[in-house]
This record gives sequence, C-alpha cells and structure tokens, in this order.
Amino acid sequence: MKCNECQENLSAIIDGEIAASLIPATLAHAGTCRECQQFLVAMQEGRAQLRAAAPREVPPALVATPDWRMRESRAPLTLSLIEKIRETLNRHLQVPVPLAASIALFCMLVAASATYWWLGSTRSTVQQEPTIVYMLELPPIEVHTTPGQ
Amino acid sequence: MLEHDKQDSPLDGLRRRDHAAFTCVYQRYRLKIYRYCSGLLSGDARANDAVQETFLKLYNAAPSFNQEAALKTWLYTVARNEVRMVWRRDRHQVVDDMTTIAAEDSAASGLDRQETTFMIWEALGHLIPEHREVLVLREFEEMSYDEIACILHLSLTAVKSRIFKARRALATRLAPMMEERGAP
Repeated sequence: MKCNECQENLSAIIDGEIAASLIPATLAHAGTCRECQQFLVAMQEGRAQLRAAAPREVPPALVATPDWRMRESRAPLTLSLIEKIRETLNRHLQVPVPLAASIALFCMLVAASATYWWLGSTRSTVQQEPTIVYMLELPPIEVHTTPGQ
Repeated sequence: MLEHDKQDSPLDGLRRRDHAAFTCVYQRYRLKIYRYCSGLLSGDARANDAVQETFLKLYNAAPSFNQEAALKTWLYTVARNEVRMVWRRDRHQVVDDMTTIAAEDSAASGLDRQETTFMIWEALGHLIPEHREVLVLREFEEMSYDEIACILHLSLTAVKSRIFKARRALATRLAPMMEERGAP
C-alpha cells in the first residue's frame, strides 16, 4: 500500500467511514511508516482544533425570528401560482414537473393548431359570399350588352 | 413514538404556510446553517445575510417538501448557492473577514484559545472553496459522507478523497503557524 492511499484510508477511519476490509492493511502500513503516523497526528490535531473553532451560537442578528408576513406580502403572484401548480402536481398527481410542463406545452400547441384551423375555415366561408353575390349580378350586365350588337 | 414524531414534524405546518412552523424550523436549523455559511464566508454580516435569505426562500419553497431529510438538504443547498453568490460578488474579502469571528470568539475564552481559533479560521480561509466546504460540513456539522455526497452532488469516493485532500491542505497550512507559535 502506498502512503497516499494509506493516508486517505486513515482519514476515513477516523470518521468511521471505511470498509472493514481495508482497515487491517491500512493499520499495518501506518504501523511501520513514520510519514503516515505524522500525518495521522497532524490530521487529528487539525480536526480537533477545527471542531473547537466552530461557532456555538448564532450572532444577535439571527436570534430574532424573521417576519414571515413580510415575505408573504413580497411574494410575487406568478411565483405563488407556480408553487400552487407544483404543489398540486406533487401532492395529488405525483407527476414530475418537467413531464407536466411538456404535457402542458403539447396541449397548448394542439389548442393553437385547432384554433388556427378553425379560424382558417371560417375565413374561407366568409370569402365565398361575395363570389355568390357577383354571380347573381351577372345576368343584368348581359341584358344591357345585347341591344348594342 | 411514531405518532409523537408525526405530531412534532413541522412539515405539515410548512405546507400550510403556518408561521409557527416556519419559526420552529428556523430555530432548529439556524445555528447549523449559520455555522455552514460562516465557515464558508467567515464575514459575520455576509454570513448573516446568507442565512436570512436562505430561510426567506424557504417560505416560497416549503409546500414541496415531503420529508425532513429533503428539507435539510434543501436548506444546505440554498445556503451554498447564497454563499457562492457572495463569493462572486466580493472575492477579495474572504481572508480579511475571517478574523472577525475569531475576534468575537475571544469574549468567552482565553487568549490561547483565541489565537488557536484565529489560526484555524485563517488557515480555513486560505483553502480552496471545495476543501473548505467539505471540512465545514464534516467537522462543523458532523455530517456523514452520505449526507455530504447528497448536498454536494458527489459520489462517496469523491467525498472521501476530497475530505482527505482538504485535511492534508489544512495540516500543511497549520504546521508553520504552529511552529511560529511554538506549539509541539
């Protein structure tokens, strides 16, 4: 076992986060290697000092509870709508948000296509009416031209 | 026992946007999130801002939590994003501000401990953010490798390796400081 590998295992051993099968070989190497022993001592010292330096209480600025009502009034309408949709999807339908968004987009595309098709068919119906009127007006024109010949 | 846990869980309250539940969560997690933010940021005011912003964001996201573990991971992830935003905003203040916490810590402790704390914070401030992050989660928060992997989106092997490298870097930083101070 190389020193680097041994030291990485020692780091995991002191955290209790190593596979049991790796412990004997690691300890065997560390027992004979001065460099790894020194690393273990330095690491444990640093660890103890770091833990001792951790803040034990919050500063005065964080003692008071935030004003949640203020946040409520600041929450934009669109955000709350999105949250409500997400909540509904999560709680009742168990549908992931990306899938739901894809389905919603597909539905919107279908609706847009249907609307476009419907408007197109309506427009063509409206355009046919003047043609019928024009044809109805043709016979009087023919009546006026006949005496001139 | 299960019934008791169910009654104590603030998640139902969070989903209903019950202010008492938010306060309960705030009181339960504020020190943890503060330790995390201050470990990464060190500057008191900036760490405070990051903590407050994290909990205010919780208000909007609360309805989507189903498990307490998800809430805890979410809080650390948002706090991490807040810290990164601060890092981007003012990169050059990190080391200077590290001294703030050490100085404040002196009120309740002796000079020796104050010096040690100062050295630790200074050494921590000189580490690269990736190393600082895993050390804070492991040593300040005493999280398991699984939890760290979940928050940092890393594999267990990567967490193990990164913690080792971070400890080695910290030991390398601390060694000359200890020698200067005459420590064994």
